[in-house]
Amino acid sequence: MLFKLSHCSFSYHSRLVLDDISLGINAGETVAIVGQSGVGKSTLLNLLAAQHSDNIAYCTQDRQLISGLNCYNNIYLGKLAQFGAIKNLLNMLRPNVQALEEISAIAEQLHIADKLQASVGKLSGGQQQRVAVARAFYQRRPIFLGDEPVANLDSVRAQQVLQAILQRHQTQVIALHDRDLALRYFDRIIGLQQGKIVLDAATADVTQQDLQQLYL
Amino acid sequence: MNTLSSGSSVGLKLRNFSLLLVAAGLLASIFADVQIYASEPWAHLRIMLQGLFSPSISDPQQLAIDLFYTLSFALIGVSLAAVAGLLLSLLYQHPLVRFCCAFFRAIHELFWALLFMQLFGLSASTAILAIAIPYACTFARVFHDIYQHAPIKLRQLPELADSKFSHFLYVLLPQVWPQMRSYLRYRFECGVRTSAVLGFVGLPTIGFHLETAFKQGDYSYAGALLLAFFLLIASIKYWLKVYLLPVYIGIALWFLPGSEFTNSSDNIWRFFSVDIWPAVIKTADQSIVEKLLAYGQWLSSLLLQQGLPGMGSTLLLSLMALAATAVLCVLLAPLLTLMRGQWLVNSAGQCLLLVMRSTPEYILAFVLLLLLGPSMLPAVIALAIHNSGLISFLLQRDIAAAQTSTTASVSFSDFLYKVMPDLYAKFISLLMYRAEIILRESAILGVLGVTTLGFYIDSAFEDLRFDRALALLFLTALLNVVVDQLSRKLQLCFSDQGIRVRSKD
Amino acid sequence: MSCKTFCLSLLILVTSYCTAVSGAVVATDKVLTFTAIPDQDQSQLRMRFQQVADYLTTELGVQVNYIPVKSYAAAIGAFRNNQVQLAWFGGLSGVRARQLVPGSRAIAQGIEDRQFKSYFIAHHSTGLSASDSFPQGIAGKTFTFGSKGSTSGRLMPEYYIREQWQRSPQQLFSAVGFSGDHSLTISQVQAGAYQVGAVNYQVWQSMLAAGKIDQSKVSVIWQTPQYTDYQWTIRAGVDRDYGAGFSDKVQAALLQMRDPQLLKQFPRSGFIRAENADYQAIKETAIALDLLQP
Repeated sequence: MLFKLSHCSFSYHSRLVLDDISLGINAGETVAIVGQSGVGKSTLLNLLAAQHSDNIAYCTQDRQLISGLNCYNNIYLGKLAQFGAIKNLLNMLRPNVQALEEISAIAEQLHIADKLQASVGKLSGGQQQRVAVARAFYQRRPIFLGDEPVANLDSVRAQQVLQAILQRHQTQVIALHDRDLALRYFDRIIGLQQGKIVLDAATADVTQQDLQQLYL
Repeated sequence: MNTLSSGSSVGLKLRNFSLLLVAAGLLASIFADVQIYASEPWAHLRIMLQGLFSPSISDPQQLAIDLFYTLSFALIGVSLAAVAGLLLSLLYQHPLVRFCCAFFRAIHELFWALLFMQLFGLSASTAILAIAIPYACTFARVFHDIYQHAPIKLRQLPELADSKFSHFLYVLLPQVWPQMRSYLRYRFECGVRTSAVLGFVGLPTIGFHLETAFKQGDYSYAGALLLAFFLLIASIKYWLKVYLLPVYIGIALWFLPGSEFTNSSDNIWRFFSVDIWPAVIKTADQSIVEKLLAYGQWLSSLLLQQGLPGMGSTLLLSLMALAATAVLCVLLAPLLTLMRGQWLVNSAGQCLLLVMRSTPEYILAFVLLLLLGPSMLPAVIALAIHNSGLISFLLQRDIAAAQTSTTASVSFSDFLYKVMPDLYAKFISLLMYRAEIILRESAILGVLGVTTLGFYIDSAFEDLRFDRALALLFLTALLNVVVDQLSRKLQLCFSDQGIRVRSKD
Repeated sequence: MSCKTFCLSLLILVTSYCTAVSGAVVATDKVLTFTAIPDQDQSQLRMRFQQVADYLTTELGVQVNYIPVKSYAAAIGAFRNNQVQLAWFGGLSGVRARQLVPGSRAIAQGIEDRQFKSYFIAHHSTGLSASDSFPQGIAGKTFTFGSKGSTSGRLMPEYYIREQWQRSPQQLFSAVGFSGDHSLTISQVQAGAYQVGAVNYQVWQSMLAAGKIDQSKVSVIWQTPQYTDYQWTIRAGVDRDYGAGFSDKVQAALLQMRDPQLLKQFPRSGFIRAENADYQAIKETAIALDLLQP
């Protein structure tokens, strides 16, 4: 089993965010986590991320883009730790040929190839989101954790990006609020309500109705 | 009413903290000599004011050279300091680095200059090092503080923690660069001031002739020099651009004054092997233990005669100056903010701040000495004027930055309810930061006969007793480290997070 | 735009610098450099001593330069570091310099330096008037010395004060300042910033002659007994560097200085032979006051 939580609780500023969670996720699964905002999705993802930090590409909700850098370097950041300091320094002055090639391909897939030289501060919310996803892609990890990675995209783009995510990773755990996307692209859906898991089932067994319940 | 004053909001804690500061200052004034000696300064003051307001200059070429050197030393010194400070700031978590930085920061640039003068003579390297070393240590701390406030930490890439340099280059630097740039700009202005002050000990900057002019009563010349200096400082923001820096540095390096001083390696060796040790341990037939004992004895008698009294008056003076600075700032801030509306009045206010912060304290003390006679009072007022000018300038900059969107003019109630709450924490933190500086600056007011540590250090240099100078400098630095720690602890007592703009050093 | 204005001003600076540099003499031969302690009228130092440098250049056949320094300590430092080989020192600074460079010699002193003295001056508000005996009334007043390293402005006055009361000036006076130089001592006492001060009698007399002193405000209340003060000191090793007998040549040139215009710069009526032993008393006084290590 890839991820395993048993009877796990988590408090933040003396407020109980996760309440007695037990959960297992196997390699190769495609899991959507759904629930209202503030219900503990991000906290759950953080707990999972801590378990396999070496194999995970984690795309957080706040995107964590560095505003002073251009898109290319923001994506390059994904592999920063794998390269030596000298190589990174040189790359800052002039993009590394190999990295540029690889990043261009990723950017192509996410339709942001024309923005690589732009400063991220100048991009729209949707474009920034795709830069964050691109950084995760560039890490080339088997597991993808995403916290609302397609929230700011229109539905066509959202589906393209989601497909790209699924195609590039073996295992995905993604927090979503879009129920249609959850039902359409994921094998398994975990529903959270007030810090507890109230739904954990194969997508085939979940209906729109079940999901609606979570948002009441 | 009762609940209001006994509350625990950040604002109230800050208020209590400021009241405590002022109370401490008043308490200090009971123990200190703040007497006013009646004098008849008016005849002399009239001559002085007449001279200052009718600036004239006989040798404009000399002035141009002075200004050029003042700028060159500042430019190279601050640039070196920025690079060294950047490197040090990356290691700043290390307790040793932190301690060394606090230690070296504590020594006034004038004393660095006097020290290096023994090694390199009156040369450009003396001036540049005297600026670069304390500034590098300040940069290290401030940059480190700035890093702490970088919003994005990239926690989802934990492996980055191992590649520190790359992390710095790609994550920290791009985020904090705007802040660092504005701090560099401010620091450069400080550097120009410092560079000018270095002239007081004989380096070829504008301070050299400024001090002479004041000493000789040549007030027209002094007025011209001061005016040129103010203009130079006021013009910095128009021409100091990061992309032009290499050009400037190149020019500065190319035209640095040469020095005929060549045998510096002998000097360095002599300084460390002979000069800094007292005569009592230089007799040949002593064992190590005897030498240590003799040194200890020498040190304790020095401490008793000069160290402790000097420390006492330094602390008293600093406390009073700090309180006076606080009061003056509180008076200045609303005035200047209210003046923002009218263009002309606002410019007058800005000029006033420029004059307040740029006039060397020595000059202020000199004028005040004539008015008030010799005591700590002129020193306190001089320090308060200089520091409140600086703090108000920095606060005004913040107010301006916060106000770009809203209307230009501010009413007094606007100030009380909108501006002050945001600003007060920043004000206190600036004040505490200046406390360290006040402690150092009290050193150069020996003309007033105020026996601070700086006075004794200056005497030691004047008497060529480098053994004493070094021991006293060491003591000053230690005092600064302790005071710094205490003031930080004190700030923490008065606030949960409000005042803590500074990092955990 | 702002860049342009800066470049323009920079150009002006640079050109003025270049003209300044090209104006300076580039000496390739051996150069003797001398300095003088900045005891008074610092802005005029270069003007005053350049004439002396010119005189020595013609007399010695060696290029002689003068460099101004900012403090007594800087003069001694320059002498010690061989930046200058000859210096016009005060009594105390000379003793200090010769101690730091063993083998250096005092070679000439002014005729007046045999009988040098300090004046104690007081502001009229103190009510003190001139007397032949030590003015007991100065206790408890505010007092300013000259430079910390001055003989006539610090060492000897402090010596007589201590001798009189067996107490330090800090204990005796309500405030003790160091004005930095003699002219400043006079102007500060005249303005009443300090009530009493100690000053070089030569400086007092020349300022009096120049009309810079208002005697209704400040007057001399006492003069110290006589002592030996200023002297020319030449550095050890000049005979080796500039040829045998060079220091004697310098001494002769100084003793032969007759031009009143030159002598006025010191101001002395002439120079006479001096030797290190003349300053033994000064040395002992300095040691007694802990201004010199034995």
